[in-house]
Order: sequence, then structure tokens, then C-alpha cells
Amino acid sequence: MSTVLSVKNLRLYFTTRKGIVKAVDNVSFDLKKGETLAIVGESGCGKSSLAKALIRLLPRNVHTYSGEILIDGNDVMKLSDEMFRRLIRWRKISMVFQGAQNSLNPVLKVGFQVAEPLMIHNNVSKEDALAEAKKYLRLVGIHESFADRYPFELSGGMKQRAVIAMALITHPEIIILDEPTSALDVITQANIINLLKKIKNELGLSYIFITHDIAVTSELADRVAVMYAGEIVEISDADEFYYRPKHPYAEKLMASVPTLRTDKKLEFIPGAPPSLINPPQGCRFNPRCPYAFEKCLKESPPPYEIKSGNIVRCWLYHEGKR
Amino acid sequence: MNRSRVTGGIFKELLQYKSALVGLVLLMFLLIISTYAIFIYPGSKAVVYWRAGENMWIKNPKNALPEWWELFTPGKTLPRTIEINPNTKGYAMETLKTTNDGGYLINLSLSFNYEYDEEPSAINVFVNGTPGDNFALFWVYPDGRKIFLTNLTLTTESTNYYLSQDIALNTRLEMDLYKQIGKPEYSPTIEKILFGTLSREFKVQKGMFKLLVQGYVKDPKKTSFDLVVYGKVYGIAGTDHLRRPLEIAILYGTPIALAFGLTASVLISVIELVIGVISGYFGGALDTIIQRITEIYMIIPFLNIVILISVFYKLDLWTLLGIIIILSIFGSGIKSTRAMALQIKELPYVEAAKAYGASDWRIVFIYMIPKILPTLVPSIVLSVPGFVFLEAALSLLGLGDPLLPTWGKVLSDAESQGALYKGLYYWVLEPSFMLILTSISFTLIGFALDRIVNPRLKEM
Repeated sequence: MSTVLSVKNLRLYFTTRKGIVKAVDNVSFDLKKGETLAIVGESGCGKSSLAKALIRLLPRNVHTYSGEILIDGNDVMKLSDEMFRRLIRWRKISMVFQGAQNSLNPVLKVGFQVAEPLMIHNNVSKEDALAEAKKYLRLVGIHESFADRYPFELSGGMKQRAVIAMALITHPEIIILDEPTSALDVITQANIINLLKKIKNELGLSYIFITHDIAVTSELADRVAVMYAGEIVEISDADEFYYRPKHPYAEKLMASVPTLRTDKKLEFIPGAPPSLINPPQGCRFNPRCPYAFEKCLKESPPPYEIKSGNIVRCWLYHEGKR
Repeated sequence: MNRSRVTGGIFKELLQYKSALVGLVLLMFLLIISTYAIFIYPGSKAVVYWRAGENMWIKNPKNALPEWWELFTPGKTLPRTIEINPNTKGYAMETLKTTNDGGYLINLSLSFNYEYDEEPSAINVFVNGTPGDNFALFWVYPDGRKIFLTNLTLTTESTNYYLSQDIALNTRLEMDLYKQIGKPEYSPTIEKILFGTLSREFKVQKGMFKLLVQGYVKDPKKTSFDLVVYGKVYGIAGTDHLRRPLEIAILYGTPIALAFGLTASVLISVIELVIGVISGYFGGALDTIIQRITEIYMIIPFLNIVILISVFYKLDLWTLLGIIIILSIFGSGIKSTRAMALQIKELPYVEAAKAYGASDWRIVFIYMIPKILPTLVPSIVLSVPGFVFLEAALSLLGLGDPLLPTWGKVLSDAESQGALYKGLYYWVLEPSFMLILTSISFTLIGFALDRIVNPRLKEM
């Protein structure tokens, strides 16, 4: 399988009054065609910033934005903002935003809203774009007649579907799903996940699935990347990851997932996620890590390749303690 | 999102407020008047009528009250204007005989029925004939009394005999009256003497009056008389000092006022909205520049500058409108729309739009402005009367459009002619009434809209 997206040493720092926030720090990963890469982590670990860095949707207070993002082998970091907007956004990468309820413009009809990217990017006439939008609404399971409704007339799940249709309409290769199911009830979540699976297989898409909900990820992910304090601490194949996470943080994360009606004590990770302005010395997880030893306090662990593509950043593996 | 975002929804909700309903009915009334005015005075006809000069309206009474003024004088019918000419009833001419030199002797009688309770305001006789024609005019009362009025000799083909202004006649009639009944209890004007009974108290003699003319003419076919007995009331709006029917200005002023007020209010609000959103959305230096310009604009004395410009350049209404708009576009509205824009530009759907590649202008015009627009509608509606009043105020100061008949113009005339001092209240009341009606209409609608669009006000 060919690699559609390759990210190397991506950094995104923000300037704030308190100092520089290293929201995305030295992140590298590959995404293959037809693959779903889940990016999991706690709130505030830089998942959404990573998504924004990928689609170059940067706020005003950017301090550093560097690294390489190769899409089909071309470094899109070299493109100007205007060229990026024209050639990459929604042509190559599109995005489903966190909180779909709010990502629809309340004053535009759903059909028009879904057709918007098409009208912007492909110079399609309004009628053709609306017809296409209806087609995609059908694809995501919304009846055509809803094209003439306003967003407030749709349920949460339908809005989410409409937003997905909006991300699909320009035939991108990669879709970033930023917490696509976080505000939905379990049944609707399941529906949406099944829909996403179906669409992926039909259209041959690659997903970057950003979520804090590891349970949901297990349905969809081919590979899982765990983010902690702006870094990716582990990338593993999904089967492997759910069977046996490698990084101590990932372990703890898995242990904190509730299971139904079994007598399991839910674990939590003591302490709070570190400040991204002043991350801890050495391994960023060391203050909360039960296995931490001296080296962890001093040096940041480099990536350790367990097998091809599976990486963990932990001294335990470097030192052969695991 | 609540229903009120949808225009149809707003309108339906509006109808539930009684005050808004009243406002809408008034607005409808004003719109009907406007349509009617445009229909009966197409093109520049109103201006032509209004600027026509004395001759066009010579057969109208001066400063006549509107006909409905009778409501305030119960039991009295106020005189209407009566005109007797060859085309009306009561006109009879007989050619008596031919004289040696080829002229004719004629006998003319112009008779009319007078049933009103007050004397007319004036009497004029318009004569056509050949130069050199001679006439003797007599007045015949319903009771048969006959008074000699005057002798007329034509020097041109037509002559106007302003009977009411004939001082010699006035003196003679007064003397005769004194001789017959002594000093009357009223001040004897020509009209009162010619229409009163022969008594010390003034009372109109009702019945058939006659103007008799005996004449020597060269060509009877060219001879015609036109007697106009001016009333004291005229039409639905009365007349002004130039005999013009005020209804022209009252009617035609309506579409002008509405167009002026609405255009100014809508354009200013929309331009302010666009500038405010641009300022808020783009931020940075552009924002700073726009905000500083706005602050400077806000301390410029608006009315003084408008007056200054109007004094220097006699402006027509639409240029004035343009100047008012230009002087207002950097108004306080920019501050509030900018504040809203700052909020909206952080909303997820704006960010989403940026993500899928919507250009900045697309975001400004399709995403932000339609979102803010509904909240502006009440203030747009509420500021309409302000601009209508502004136009009237400028006209009152003599700085309005020099040609168009407007409400402010009527007020200006009334003021310069001392209408209130002379007791010609209708002259001031009519345009004021229209102004107030416009104001009430928009205010009632605006307040109701405000409650709908800003639902928090509902609870107060």
C-alpha cells in the first residue's frame, strides 16, 4: 500500500502571554492509502492542534510552524497559503470538525452548505453543486428533502452526517475526523462509525481519526498513535495496541477504559497532563510514570522501533527493561 | 437556532404583536398613499404643479382650509369655490342690437346659487374680449336689490378684474351701507356687503345671486366672462399662500419621505455592517484604521456639516441623501457590528468554512453578515423616522431640495407665512401629522421586531 501522507518533524508552537506553547512537538508518522490512523490522547495533549497543523488552519499567534508534510510525495509546507487553500484543502485533505452541531452555518440551507466546498473549489454552477450535494447527502443516509432545511431542523446525528457529506464532496484522499462522535449518544455514534467504515471502503479513503475515546477507535482504527504532551509516544497496529499497549501511558489509558458489567477497577493516571509551556525534563511522562527511573528524568527518549512502523518512545525499551 | 432566523418566521411572529399590527396598517396606509401619489402625479408632474406659479392656480382660493375643517364648525357649511363661465350653468348672453359703427350691445348674466353660511374669501372676474370693449357690471341680490359695481374698458384682449381689491368700490359700498342702516356691527368688506343681508348683524343672504353685465363689444363671439367666487375651503388639504393645493405636497411628500428615510437607513446600516464585519474579521492594522476613522467620524458634528454643505451647494434631495449617507457610514453601528463579528468569527462553522477553503470575502458576506443582519433589522426600522425628520428639518431651514414638494417644504412655507399666527393651523398640522404617522408606524414595527430578534427583551 502506498503512503498518501507522510509527516516528518512537524512542530506547531503558539505564542501566549505566559510563554511558548509547544502544542505539536516533533511529530512524525505515515498514513497509507485506505488506512485509518487513530490519534488518541487526553484533552489538551495537542490532538486538535495536530489536525489544524495538517490542514494549515492556524490561529494568529503561531510561533513556529515547521517540518514536512508530504502528500503523495510533495511537500505541501512549501506552498503559499493561497496555493495551499486552492490545491490541498478539501482537494487532498478535508476535515470533519469537532462538534458538528456547530460547524454548520445556521443561516445556510443544509444542501447549500454541503455544496459550498464544491462551489468554492471546482467552479461548479450552483445547480450542479446542489445536485451533487443531494447525491452525497443520500450517500451518508440523509433524505434529499433535507437539503432545503436549515441546520436547526436536523438532529445531532443528521448534522454529523451532513458535515461528513461536506467533507466528502470534493473527493479528497484523506479525511481528518476530529472527535466526530463526541457529542452524540451511543446508538448514533455506532451509526456514524458504521457509516464512516462503509464510506471508506466504497471511496478508498484514508482517515486520521482524532479522539479521546479509545473504545470508539477500536471499531475503526487500523493503527493507533498515542499523543502525550504534544508528542507521539507510541504508534502501533491496532490489533497489537488493543491487545498489549507498549508505552506506560498507553497502558494506563487502556486500563482506564470502562468495560460493561465486569468487576474491573477503573484505573486513572495520577497527576495532571503536563503544561505544554514548560514540559518536564527528560521523558514528558516521567512525573506520572510508575516505571520511571533516572534516565527518564534526564533525557527525552528517542523513538524505538519495535517492528516496521511500530514505534514507542520509552527508555524501558531502549534499556531492554521490557 | 430559533425560528426567528427565518424571515417568514419573523413576519408571522410580528403579526402577533398588536402594536406591530397597528404599525403595519399605518405603513400600509402610507404605502397606498405613495402608490396613489406616484400614480396621479407621474414623472415630474408634481414638481410642475408645485412650481407652476400664480396662473396655474388662479382659480383656487388663497390659504383655504381643508373641507373637513367643517367638522370643527358644526352647523355651518363653509363656502366652496364657485366658478361661472360660458361652459357652466348660469351663464347667459344675449346680443341686443348692432350699433352704427359695427359694434354690438350685449347683456350678460352670470347667476349662481349661494347656500353657504359664510361669505366667500374673494371674488374675481376674468374678462375676454377685444380692446376697446366697454362693460358695466351690476350685482343682483337674491332679494332683488341691484348694485352698480364698476365700469370696465378693455385695453388688451383679456383683463382680470379683482373685485375684492377694488378700493373705490369698497368705499362706495360702505358709504351706501352706512346711509341705509347706520354703522354695522361687523367690519364691512366687499364680500360681506355683497353677500350679506341688509342688516346691522352680518348674515349671509342665501339664494340666487347674479352678476349682470351690460356692454358694448366689437365681437360678441370673442367676449366671455368668468366669475370666480372663491370659497373658504378647498379639497382635502386646503391651499397655501400661492393658491397651490397642499394635497400635492402632502401626497407626493409621502413617497419621497419613505424613500428618503428607508434608503438612508438601510444603506447606512448595511454599509456600517459591512465595514464593521470587515474590521472585526480581518483585524490587525485594518481594524485599527477603521476604528480610529469611526471615532473621528463620531465626534464630527453631523448636522452642522450637513447644513454647511447644503448652504454652499443648493443640493437636490438625492445628492443630499448621498451626503448624509457618506457622513454617516462610519457611525456607531460599526462598533456594535464589529463586536458581534469578533464573536462570530471564532464560531466553529466559520473555522470550518476557512478549512474547506472559503475565501475571506465569502466568509464575510455569506457567513458573517447574514448572521448579524437579523439583529440589525429593528434598528434599521427604528432609524427610518430619524432620517425622515432630518429631511423635514433641513427643508424647514430652507436647505432641502429646491424643487420637490415635500412635507418639510410645506412646514417651511407655513413658518415663513406665519401660519400659526394667522390661525391657519391646518397648514402646520397636515405635514406634522404625516411626519408623526410615519414615525409611529416605523417605531411600532421596530419595537416589536426588537422584541422578536432580541428575545431577552420579552421578559422585561
